[in-house]
Amino acid sequence: MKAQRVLFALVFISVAALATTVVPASIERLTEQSTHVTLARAVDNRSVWDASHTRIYTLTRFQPVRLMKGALPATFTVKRLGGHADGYTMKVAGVRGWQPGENAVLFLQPDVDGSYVVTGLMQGDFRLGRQASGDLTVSNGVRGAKQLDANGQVSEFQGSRMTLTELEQRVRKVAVR
Amino acid sequence: MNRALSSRISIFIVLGVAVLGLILSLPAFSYLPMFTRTSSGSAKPDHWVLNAFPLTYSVNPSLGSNFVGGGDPIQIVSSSFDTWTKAPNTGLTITRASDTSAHSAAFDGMNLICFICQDKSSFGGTTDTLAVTVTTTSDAPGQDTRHGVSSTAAGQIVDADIEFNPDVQWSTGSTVTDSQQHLQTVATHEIGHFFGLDHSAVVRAAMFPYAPDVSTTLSYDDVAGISQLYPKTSPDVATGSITGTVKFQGGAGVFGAHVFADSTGSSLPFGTGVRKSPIGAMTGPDGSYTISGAPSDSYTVTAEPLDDPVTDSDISGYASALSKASVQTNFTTRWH
Repeated sequence: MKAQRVLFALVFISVAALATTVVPASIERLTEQSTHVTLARAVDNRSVWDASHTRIYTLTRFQPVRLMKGALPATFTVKRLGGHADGYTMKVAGVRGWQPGENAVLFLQPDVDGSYVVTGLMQGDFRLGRQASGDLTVSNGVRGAKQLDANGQVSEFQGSRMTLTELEQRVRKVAVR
Repeated sequence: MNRALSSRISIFIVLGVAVLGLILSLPAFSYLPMFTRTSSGSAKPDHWVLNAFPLTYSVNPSLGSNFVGGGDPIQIVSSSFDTWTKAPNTGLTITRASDTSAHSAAFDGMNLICFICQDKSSFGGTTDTLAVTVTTTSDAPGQDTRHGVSSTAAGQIVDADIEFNPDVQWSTGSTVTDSQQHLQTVATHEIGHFFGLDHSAVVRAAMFPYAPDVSTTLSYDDVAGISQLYPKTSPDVATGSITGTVKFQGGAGVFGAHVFADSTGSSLPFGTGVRKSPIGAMTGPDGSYTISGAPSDSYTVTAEPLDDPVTDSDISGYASALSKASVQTNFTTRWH
């Protein structure tokens, strides 16, 4: 009984490869779409209005910890839509920012103003965790989502969680092409 | 899998559970709203204040050749709004205002729906982002809503815009091919965000971050969410709540456990237009939870870590709104 219940809980997850906000992208696709990939540490945040005072952006300064694709200066800025300013909070559903000191593997594209944006919103933002074995893991919270088919057949769940080492190997493999 | 191996720490669940006669109605949330962190540091659920100003949306009717299938995208969006506003137990109305030529999300007093949205940076430079919903909330009462009145509550939504990626192939029909995305399915999910809902960890919910190719109806979890945010004065279906606390063996509360109530019966109190699903909730900092909006029935209640397929990253502001770095996942699934 208990085993069946756990199985149910584990396999009754998302259906198909469509996400309502995003279509899960592979590490290889994200790497191809990004000019830069780096493990980086957030230094600080500040939110600003745009020139028309209708959009709030948060500018987060990062320091690269380990470059995986492209070259970056000692400090670079990532810009994302959303943030807090003058008593308002603007947010893009499903997207969250970084706290100072937080580490992440970022897949980046340059913006016209010299800052960078994360490729595919939350998809290009992998947060770090640690396995019981001590290995560092990364996950962008977006999974490839194999699933139950129309006949109720259960396919294996394939998540985006992987070790940092595996992610880096996959990025470098594409980056050297 | 991971869940079973992830930890040897077991939890002890104090159930406030299962049975159900009609327990009284309650406060809290059994879905997950988005939250706004107030200037005083507390977290308030995002919501429209329905009597503050008329709730409307404006459509930029410009379309491209990327819309196929014969359906009318504007009508599809309207139907998607109806799916939420006509949900059981929900007192919510929205009307379509004059069309607009605006093409980017902005806090400008107009709730925009655009199909050929010009600011492609909103999508992170890829076609993998199908659509985004941008909401603006007031952190405290007294803020200019840009509707000629001041906000009356923290967490009050004062603007919401939905942008569809113009580089995506959209199906306006009832089916999709491998290269297409289903407009009404995506619109239904985004409109949930428009009304203040965050992602749900209940897999059959419209607000689950991933969906079947085509899914245009709400689940019990969605209905619980929207009806708690915008309750109907005279509910269509009587509901109650399930409360309890999730604790580690040592007695400390588990923060951010996903707790869901799954009906063990076969009745369909919300009718056939709503998909039967578990109804979920997240535990607060002390481990307590309240699952609201549950129709009379018997339920199995399960507590699980939010460690895939839905994770902390999918619920953008829950932990930070409650002054936590992340939810706790160092326990194994338990149910009663």
